[in-house]
Amino acid sequence: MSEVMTAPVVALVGNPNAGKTSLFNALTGARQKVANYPGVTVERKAGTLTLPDGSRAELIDLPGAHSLEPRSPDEEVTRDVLVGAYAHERVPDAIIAVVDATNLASQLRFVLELKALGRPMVVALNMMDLAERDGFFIDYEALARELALPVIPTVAVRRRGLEAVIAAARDALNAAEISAIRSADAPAMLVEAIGDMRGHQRQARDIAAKVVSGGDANQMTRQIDRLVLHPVSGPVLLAVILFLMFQAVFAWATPFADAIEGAIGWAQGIVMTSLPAGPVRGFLTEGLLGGVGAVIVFLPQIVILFAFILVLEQSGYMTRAAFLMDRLMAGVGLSGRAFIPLLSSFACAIPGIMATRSIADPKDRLTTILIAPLMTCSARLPVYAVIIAAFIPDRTVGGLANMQGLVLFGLYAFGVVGALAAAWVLRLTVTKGAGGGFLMEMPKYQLPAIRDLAIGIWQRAWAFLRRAGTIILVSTMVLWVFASYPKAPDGVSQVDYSIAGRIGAGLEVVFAPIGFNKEISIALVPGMAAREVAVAALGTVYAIDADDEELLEVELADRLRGAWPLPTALAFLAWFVFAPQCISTFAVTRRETNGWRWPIFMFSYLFVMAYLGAGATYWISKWALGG
Amino acid sequence: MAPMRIDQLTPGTVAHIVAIDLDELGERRLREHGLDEGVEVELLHRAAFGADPLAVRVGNACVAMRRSQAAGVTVRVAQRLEAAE
Repeated sequence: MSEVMTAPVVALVGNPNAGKTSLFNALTGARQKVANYPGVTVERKAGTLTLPDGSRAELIDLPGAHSLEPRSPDEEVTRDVLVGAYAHERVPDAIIAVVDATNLASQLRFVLELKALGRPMVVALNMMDLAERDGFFIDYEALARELALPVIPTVAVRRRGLEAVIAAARDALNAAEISAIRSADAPAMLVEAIGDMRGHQRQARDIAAKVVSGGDANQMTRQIDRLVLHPVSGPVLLAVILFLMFQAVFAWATPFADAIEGAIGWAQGIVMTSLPAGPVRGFLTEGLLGGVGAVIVFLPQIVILFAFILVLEQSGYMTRAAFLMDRLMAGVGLSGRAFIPLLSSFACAIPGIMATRSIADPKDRLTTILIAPLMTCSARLPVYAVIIAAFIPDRTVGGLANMQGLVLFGLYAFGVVGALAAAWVLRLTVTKGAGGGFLMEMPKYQLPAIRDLAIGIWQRAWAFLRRAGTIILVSTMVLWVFASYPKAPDGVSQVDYSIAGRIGAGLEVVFAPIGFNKEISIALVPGMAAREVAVAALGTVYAIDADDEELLEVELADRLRGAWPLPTALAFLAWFVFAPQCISTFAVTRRETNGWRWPIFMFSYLFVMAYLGAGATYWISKWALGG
Repeated sequence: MAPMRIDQLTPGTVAHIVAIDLDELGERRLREHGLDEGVEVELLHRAAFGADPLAVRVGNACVAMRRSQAAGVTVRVAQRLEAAE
């Protein structure tokens, strides 16, 4: 044994929906790190567990699993880490198995499998409040005797039972030190653990029958499901929720976005008055504040969108949505399970593509990855928002909805229809094969815990700001330099004369047939780094050609209104519905599909769709407007 | 009562599983979700448009499954203690 002072590792393991993440949040608080495992893109969530004696352990939150025999790439990571077959992770010194107290008969089977691995282990009997509410009495001391493991009742969302779990984890770690870990035995033990599925099932039910009395299947959940899963009211309710979500993203964010915009304008003003005119001032106001500011303005919308998604997930509604969507998804050769990664893709395709790891069937999963970029991610919001604000009148339609909101909803719908069509074609051609079915537990409804929501929103908002501060900042800076130099002689447009302008002029040959001008062609290049950069880029390109006095007064939207005909604006929107404008998405696709083949395919088919979609939009609207 | 399959149950009728007949992988996946001989099941909901998938109560949990998967599970309807209606 090595004498190096490394903190011991404790792993949280459990069925999906057992409350594992809530327990993880409660145990580690805000002191957690979300990173990717090297080589693969399963999130590695780790935090610090402070033990009663003041020493520390590393707590890792493993992906939810039903069994040690993996069905999906997610479950494979859990299995590999637990048996020490995972190269990038130390074998956990102890396991905390999280089980849903209201569903012991089924979930104890996995506990028995885990126990067969022979690691020091603690059972967290979670959701005890729900079990009590449903009238279950669980003799957890008897359960501990039957399992021969410490059993701690917990309510992770109410922070109940945490000290006891930590104390039990410490005891387990002490036991781990005494009994040298027999990782050499792990493969043999794994075979034993998964070999006797029926035996474990019987044993689990026998134990549950002994220790659980009373109780009734959750009546409240059943009542709610009568409405939520009803063949008529269910789909209607889902449509209403999604529509409200997208209206809220636009309406609620406005005051916050205005405040951020005001702050950026104020900062630009300070720079303008305190610095002499020149390259430094130009860079600070046009490049830095103009470019990055144009992106940060959308933080409120992204936070609201993620808040909705997190509430839907944590309340238990998301799996119902998957149930309601399964039929439609089956129509294009997918399953309802694909709905959850696809909905996440509305925030960002990257976590969406990672979330496909929960899809068991490889072809279902590949198809879902390929269509995920067609979901309107939050990076498109800045683009849509600017164009909509510039070209779509802000008025109420039919006394109900806002016209700008309706157009935004239409763009989202356009993406979804495009994705379904693409999936249907892909399933008949490149990802041909039988579907993998649909099997999913629908958890009890629960009020989301504010703490879990706050942590989830914070992690995502931080990821967005980090992008704004790095990739977006750098590409904006590079573009500003490219667009500002070489300096044009008097009477010649600076943008036309610059490096960026010359590149744009070349690209314009490709994009002119679909109505795009040179400025757009220039903006699309840095827009490859991230979609929202296109807005910053347009801001920079148009700001450089404007006079300084004009800069502070005229917003980008007003400037575009003057510069673009309506068909061009509409074509630009259509382009962004489909366009493969995100390097990170290709990088993640390459990792998830182990090669360049699928990301290249993805780029090509999306480019063709975007080109045809934007072209059709341009020519049809031109014709319709009598141009 | 004669054995039936889960997908043939009337919503609200409680039954017990007698057998699971699917390919090996399909069977294991159902077992991982708590289905087993003797477990109590109840058909809760059928989705709109083609009555597929189904929401099935399995013990104390609610599991969504396709009709084709449910058709592999033979059940026997529980004796009615009180003949209501």
